Amino acid sequence: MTLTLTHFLVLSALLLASGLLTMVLKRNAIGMLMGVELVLNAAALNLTAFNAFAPAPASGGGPRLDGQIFTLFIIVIAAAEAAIALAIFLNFYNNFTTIDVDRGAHLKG
Amino acid sequence: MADPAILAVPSADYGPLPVILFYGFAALTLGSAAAVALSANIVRAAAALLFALIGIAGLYLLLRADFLAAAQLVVYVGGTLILMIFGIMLTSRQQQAAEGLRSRAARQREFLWGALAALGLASPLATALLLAPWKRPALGAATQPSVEDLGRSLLDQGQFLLPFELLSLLLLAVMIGAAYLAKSRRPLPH
Amino acid sequence: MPTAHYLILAALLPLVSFVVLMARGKHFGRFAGPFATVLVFGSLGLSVIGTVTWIAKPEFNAAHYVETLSYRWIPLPATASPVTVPDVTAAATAPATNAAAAAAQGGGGGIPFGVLVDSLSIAMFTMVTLVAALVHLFAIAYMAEDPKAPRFFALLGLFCFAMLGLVLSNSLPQIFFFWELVGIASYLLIGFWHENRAPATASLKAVLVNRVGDALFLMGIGLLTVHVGIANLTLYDSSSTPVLASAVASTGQTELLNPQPQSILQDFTRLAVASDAGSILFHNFGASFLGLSWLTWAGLCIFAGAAAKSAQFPLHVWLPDAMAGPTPVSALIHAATMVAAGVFLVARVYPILTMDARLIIAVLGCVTLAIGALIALVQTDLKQILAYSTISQLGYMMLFLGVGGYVAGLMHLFTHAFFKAGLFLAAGSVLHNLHHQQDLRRMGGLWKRLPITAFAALLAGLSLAAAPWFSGAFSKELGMACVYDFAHRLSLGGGGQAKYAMTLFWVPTIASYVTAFYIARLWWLTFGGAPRDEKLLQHLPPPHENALMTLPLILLAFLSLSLWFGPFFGVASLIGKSLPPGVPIVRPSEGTQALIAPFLSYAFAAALIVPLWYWRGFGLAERFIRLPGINLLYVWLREKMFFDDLYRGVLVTSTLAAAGVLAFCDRFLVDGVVNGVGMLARVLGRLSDLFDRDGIDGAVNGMASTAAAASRAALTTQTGRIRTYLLVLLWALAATATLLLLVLPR
Repeated sequence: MTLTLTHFLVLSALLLASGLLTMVLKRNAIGMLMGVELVLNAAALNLTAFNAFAPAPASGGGPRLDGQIFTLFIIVIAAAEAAIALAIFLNFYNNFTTIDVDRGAHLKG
Repeated sequence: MADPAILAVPSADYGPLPVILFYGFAALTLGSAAAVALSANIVRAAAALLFALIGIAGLYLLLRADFLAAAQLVVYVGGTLILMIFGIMLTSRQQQAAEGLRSRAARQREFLWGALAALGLASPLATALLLAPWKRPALGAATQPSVEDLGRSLLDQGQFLLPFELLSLLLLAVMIGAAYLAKSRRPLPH
Repeated sequence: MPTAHYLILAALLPLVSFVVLMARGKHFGRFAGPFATVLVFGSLGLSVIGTVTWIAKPEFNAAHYVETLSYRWIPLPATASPVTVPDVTAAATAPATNAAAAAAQGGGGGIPFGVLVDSLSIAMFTMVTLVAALVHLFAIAYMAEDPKAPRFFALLGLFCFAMLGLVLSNSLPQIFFFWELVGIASYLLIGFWHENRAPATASLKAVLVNRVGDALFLMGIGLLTVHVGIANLTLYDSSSTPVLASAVASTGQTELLNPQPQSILQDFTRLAVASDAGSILFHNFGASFLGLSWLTWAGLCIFAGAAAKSAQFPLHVWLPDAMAGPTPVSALIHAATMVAAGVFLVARVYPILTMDARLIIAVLGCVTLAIGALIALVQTDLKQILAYSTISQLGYMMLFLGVGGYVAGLMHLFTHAFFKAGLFLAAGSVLHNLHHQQDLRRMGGLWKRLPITAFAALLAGLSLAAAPWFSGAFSKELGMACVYDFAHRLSLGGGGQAKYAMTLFWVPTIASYVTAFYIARLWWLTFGGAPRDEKLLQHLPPPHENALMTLPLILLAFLSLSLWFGPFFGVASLIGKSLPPGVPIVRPSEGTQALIAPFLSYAFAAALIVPLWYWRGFGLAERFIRLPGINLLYVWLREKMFFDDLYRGVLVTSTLAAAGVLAFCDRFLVDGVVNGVGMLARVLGRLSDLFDRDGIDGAVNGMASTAAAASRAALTTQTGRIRTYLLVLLWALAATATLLLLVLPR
């Protein structure tokens, strides 16, 4: 019994689904943000897994690390995105005194 | 698995330990993710998210990405999640009341449709992944990548230097933007 | 601590002054001046320490020694290999080996941000900081009543930083960078009183004229880049290899740089004979364009940049106007340091200047020094005379460098910096006392009011007149000996230029008589005799000589003595150590110097007739200039040889005329076409309108109402709830994934 790429990919797919489910179910804006974070983590896990299973570069040198670096970038960008999203939510809260996303339906037709 | 097209990452030296660890971390991650999705209390959801993120950090360790695991813990758990909890605390005044306003039937309906859609997405994806014939890569890739290598490809070889610098620019913009956006203003007359 | 570190620190102190005074200058008030002065004195102290450590080094006794610090500035791929240009001569291709490639490796594959310390930069650095410190001291008193004084000192700080950075630069791009910064500081300081019209236009003129030179400078850098690769624009690498010079040498231009006989003069003789069949003045050796080789062109382009900064003919017109700036600025920037940067630049690229380029530089310098001296002869504005005198003296420096007198040209730079700064500060003291009355005709007899200023101006003026025992005589004799050597050998060579060769010697010699005359005239008309305008003096407050003003004056006056530059302090041998070995220069023999010296000593005698000539004010001179023939000459000189009018007439008017023609085209041609098209469109529109109203409108209205109905229906799905949208998105994703799974082949 060995660990395969498929293990990680299936896990990441399930994580993606639960993230999306979180986004759909949560009325709290921060709850939705958590869903987004789960989705991002699913993607990051995918990249890291592919990186670990990728063949070594033909030219030699150090190990192939593109996937890990992408994941690193995802982690940083996710932090940035969370900061901006929370700032928006605080603004939202200042205007509506709630962060229930269903209340912010001013764009309805 | 017998299929030679599917590769094992960790060498066989560790026996079944990696697989056991994988299932442990996977269970932790997926269970916590499900708890995030299903918990009605936002603080509990945040706590569950903490465990989900820790589980993913463990999976990174299994994938030999030790620096990523550390970054996951430091940045995600130590930074982003704390930020969220702050957000929750700053905005939680009427949250319980708002949750309570929804009727039980409406919540069940939402859950049903959402879960169906999530399953509808996950099942074809998982099927496709299970059926996919992955090519067997060279085993040389299984050398342990060190933090030094990561740092080299970020900064020294110049391969990812530009994105790296752009990222710092982005962070600066985010810092300014977030400070600007979060400036408290008078609420609208509602 | 290496010498370079002291110098870097010294260069950064004025930058601190600039930044602090720019940001918080208002808070300093009248302490802005002392603040900036203290910092600049700090620079001076550090540079003196640097000089001492430099001289104390054991390597200092070598013939040539440099020290570099290098940081990566603009990284470039190391593949920038020099382009080898096929040369017309077979001999030139022989040494083109791997030296350039090796030099490219040494360049580190990019443009380094380097600090170069050699004897030249040490000397320049000390000179600049010393003059700057004294001028700062003077300016405290001079600018005391000006409310904008903090800004003034801030800009002085910027200038000092840029100038010191320029002195320390180790590559041509870096020199260009500081070059521009110096230009900007100069622009801002000329236009310091920009509320008035004259300084504003003068600053603009300075920038525009300098732009011509800077563009050519950049072209020169470009030419070098094409031929030796951008990595080789560095002057020296860490192992003291002259990178640029050896890279140029390896492109097969060695014949031009380093003629086989050790004397360039013999070489000229040879070339002159060879060139008789070809062009008149220049030889065709390695020619690439208009009879000159690319290396000559590169040198000339770089010289053009230097010529603009150093106010050489024909780009000298900006400097007299620049006198509209505050007088301390004129002293520091437009007399002592910045205008000398051109000379400094020529010295820096000296190893790559071909014989042709040197000859052209010498000729232009000769023309410039004659023009400057002659115009200075008849001006009546105190600062204008000094400005033309500066132009003239810069011409001397260029001439000395051009004929191969590397040490002499730079020596003259240093001696001139001190005595001219002294003269300018004396002028500043006079103007300060007379409330900015600059007209010589209204002065006279000021030695009673300003005895110390008059004494200092006398010493500095004697130095300019090349009186014995003064620094001006020392450097000028040295230089003129080189010129004589050069011109004499050239005239012996035969060929086209031989007939005119001695002109190169006689013109500056006569000009030195003119120099002595005009500076004596300036001194006498300002300080000597009796006051010509009693009314002006009556309205002025009683004279006062501020110690802050007189101290720098006295110091500069004593620095005009030959003693400081003579063999005892070894400035000349210091400068001589800054040239890499193998570059041919002229070292005049003792005999030549002895031959020349009397000529120059007699020049000083020309000064003695001035008091007689102007004994009773302008009376005699007025009568003289009305003589037929002389009057035309006088008007020609008074109007500055009509250079301004010529440039205005030819360049400015033609530019404006071209603009006018373009505007005309724009207004009538282009607008006409546009209007015509518009008219046509209107007629067509009228026609189609008829068709529209009946035929199309019906159809359009029908479509519009259909769309409205559809959008009303679609509107119901727009709940505005983000979660609903998400759910739909999720379903769409799920459907797509399922579809793909079913449809795509395994």
